[in-house]
Amino acid sequence: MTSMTTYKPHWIREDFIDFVGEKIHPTWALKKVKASVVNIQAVSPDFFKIQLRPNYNFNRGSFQAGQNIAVTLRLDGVRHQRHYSIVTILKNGDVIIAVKQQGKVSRALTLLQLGAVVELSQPQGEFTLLNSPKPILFLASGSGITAIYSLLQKAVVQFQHPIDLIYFTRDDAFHAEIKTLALMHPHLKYHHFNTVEHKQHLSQQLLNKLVPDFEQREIYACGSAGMMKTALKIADKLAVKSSFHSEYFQIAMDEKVKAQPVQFLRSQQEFQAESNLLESAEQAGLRPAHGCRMGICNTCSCTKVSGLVKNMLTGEIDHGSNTPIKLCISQAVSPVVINL
Amino acid sequence: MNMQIDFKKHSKSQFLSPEQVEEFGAKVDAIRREVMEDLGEKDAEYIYKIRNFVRYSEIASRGMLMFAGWLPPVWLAGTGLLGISKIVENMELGHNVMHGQFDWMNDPSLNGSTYDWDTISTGDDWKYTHNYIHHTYTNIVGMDHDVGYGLIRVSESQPWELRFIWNIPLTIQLMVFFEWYVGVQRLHLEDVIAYKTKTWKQVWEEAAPLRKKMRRQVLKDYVFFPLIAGPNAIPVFTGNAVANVIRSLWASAVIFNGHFTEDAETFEMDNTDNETRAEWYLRQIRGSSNFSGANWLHILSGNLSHQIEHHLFPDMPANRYAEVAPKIKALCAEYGIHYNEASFMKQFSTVWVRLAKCSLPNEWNQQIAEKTHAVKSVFRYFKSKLVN
Repeated sequence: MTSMTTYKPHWIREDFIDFVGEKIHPTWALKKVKASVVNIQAVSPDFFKIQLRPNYNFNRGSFQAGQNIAVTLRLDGVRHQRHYSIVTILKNGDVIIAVKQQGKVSRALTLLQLGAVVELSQPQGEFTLLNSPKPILFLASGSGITAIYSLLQKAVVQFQHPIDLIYFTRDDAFHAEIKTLALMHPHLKYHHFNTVEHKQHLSQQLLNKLVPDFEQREIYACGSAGMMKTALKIADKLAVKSSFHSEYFQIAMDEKVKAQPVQFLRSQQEFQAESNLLESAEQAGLRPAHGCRMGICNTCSCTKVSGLVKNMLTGEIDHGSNTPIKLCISQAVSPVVINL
Repeated sequence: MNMQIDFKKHSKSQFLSPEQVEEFGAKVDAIRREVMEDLGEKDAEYIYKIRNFVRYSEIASRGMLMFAGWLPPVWLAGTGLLGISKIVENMELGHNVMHGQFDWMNDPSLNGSTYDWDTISTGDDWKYTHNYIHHTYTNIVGMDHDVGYGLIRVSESQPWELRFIWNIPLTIQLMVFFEWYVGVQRLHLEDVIAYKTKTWKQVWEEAAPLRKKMRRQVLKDYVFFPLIAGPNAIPVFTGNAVANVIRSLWASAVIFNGHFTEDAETFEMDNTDNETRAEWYLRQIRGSSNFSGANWLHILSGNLSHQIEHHLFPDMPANRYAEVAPKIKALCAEYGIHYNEASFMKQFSTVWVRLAKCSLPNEWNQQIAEKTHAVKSVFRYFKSKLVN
C-alpha cells in the first residue's frame, strides 16, 4: 500500500488557481506551461511553422537543439497530446514548431486562430548533438526534417568538420533554408532528393556513393518508418550502432507479437507482459494498486506514458501518450512505459 | 422472453435460465457500447459546467458569509448555497470523476486516480471502500461494507445483535455525521468496538492518511475561513458547520435510497468467484433502486437517482444515465426483472420501515407480522359483517 505513506492532501486545487489566473490573463497558470498562438505560416501545402508564445513557466534555458515539446489540444472533449520538434526558440522566447497535417490533431493545430491557447510540456528528448570529434551525417525524410534542421543549424556553427545531409522529401519543406545554410557554410554538403520528381530510397549503395566515409561518422536519423528501418538495418549490419542516433515519429506496430517489455517509470521496474498488464506486473513480483480486476472500479487506473495498449474489453488500441489506462484490462501491443 | 410482466408492488424478479442471463448481459453491453462510443464534446462541456458551478457557488457563498454573514438572511442564503456547492462537488463532480467517468478526456484535473474531493474521506480510501468493495460486491452481506457500515442493520441476512435495537437513532446520527463515518469507513471501527478483532493501535497506524485529510478539512472550514473573515468569524464558522451537515444529510439520504429501499435485495456470500459479467449485471439491478424527480434532483444526487444505471455502468459519465434508464427499464420488463423505481419520498419512507424492522430479530418481525395479520383479518371479518 504505497498510497498509505505517500498520501498528501492538497491545500488548494491547482486547477482552481489556474481557473482564476486565466480570467486575468489567458496564459496565466501556477505550474502549467500555456502558450498562445502568435503566427502560423505554411512551409508547404500541408506543413506549417507555428509560432507559440509560452508563459513564464516555460524553461527555455533547458532547450537543446533536436528536442521536442508535447502540445496539448482539446478536441471533441478529449485532450490530445502530440509531440513536435522545436525548429528554434527566438530571442523573445517564442517557440517555433513545425507541424505536418497527418491526423485530426495536427490538422486542428494548424487551423487554430491566432491568440488561441494550448498547453505545452517543457523541452524534452534525448535526440541532441553529441560533442564528438567525428564528422556528421544527417538522414532525414518527410516531417523528420524538423528535428534534423534544428540539429543542423547548431552543428554548422559548432563544428568545423565535414557535415552531410541526405534529405528525402515530397514537398521541399525547409529546402530553401537549408540551401542558404549550405551556401554560408562550405563544410555542409547538402544532398537533396525530391521523391516526387524521381524515386529514391535510402540504401547502402546510395550512402557509399554520397558519403563514402559514413561508417566513421556520427549518424543522426529522423524520418518515416521505412527510412528508419533501412537506416537501422545498415547500422546493424556494419556494426556502427553506437554512433547511430535516431528519433522515431511513427512506431511500427505488430499485433501478433505476444510478450512485450513494459517499464514502470517511477518504481524503475521492467518486465515482460503477456496477458493483461496487471497480471503480468504481479507475475513479475510487482504490486500495483488494484481492485475488481474487471475494469469497473478504476483502482488500477494509471498513466501510460508511451506505447500502444489494447483495451481487452473493447478491442480498441490506445495510441496516445500520457493517457489513462486501466492495467487490468489493458494488453501491451508494443513496448509500453507506465508512470507507476 | 417476449412476455410482458406486469409488476405488482412486491413482486420479485423472475428466475432466468443461464442462457437468458447471458443474453440479457449481452443486451446490457450493447446499451453501454452505444453510449461509450458517442462520448465527446457535450459530455466534456457538461462536467466543466458542473465544475464551474461548484467554483462560482463556492466563491459566492463563502463571500456572502465572509462579508455579511452577521445578517440572518445573508447567513441563511450563504450557508444554503455553500451546502449545495459542497453537495454538487461531492456527488456530481467528485464521486463521478473518481469513478473514472471522465478519464477519457485526459484532463489531469478530472482524472479519477488523482482526484481528491472536498470531504473528510481521502480520495484513495473512497476508491477502495466504494469503487472496489461496494461496486464489486454490491449488497453481499459480509463483503459489501456499505450494507450497514458496520453500524446499523439494513438486511435480514445480517445477524441480529442487541445493539441494533438502536437502529433508528443510530441511523439518524449516522446521517448527521455521515462525512465522518465515510471518512473512517475503511478502518472498520466496529471490529475494535463490537467484535474486538482489531486493536486501536492498528487503527491509528492505518489512519495516517486520514488524519492528514481531517486536519486539512478542519483547518480549512473551521480555522482558515473564519480567521480571514475577521469580525464575521462566528457566522462563517457556523455557516461552514451547517453546510457540512446539510451535505451529510443529503448524501446519506441519496445513498440509502439507492440500496436500502424495501425491494432492494441483499445477497449471500456464495459464488462471486464464478459470477459472470451478466450475472453481476443482474445482481447490480436487483440490489439497487432509483428515484424519480426533476432535473435538479438528479444533479444534486450526482445522478445516483439512477442508481441502477450507475451500478451497471459505474464508469459511464453520469449525465448519460437519464438516456440509458428507459432502455434498461424496457429490457428489465422484457425479462421480468424487477426495476425498482419510485419517487424520492416514497423510496425514503420504505428505507425507514426497513430500518425499523431490522432493529428487531427476524423471528419477532415474523410474529408481529402474523399477529397484525390476525388482527387485520378479525377487523375484516367484523367489517364484512357490518356491511352486510
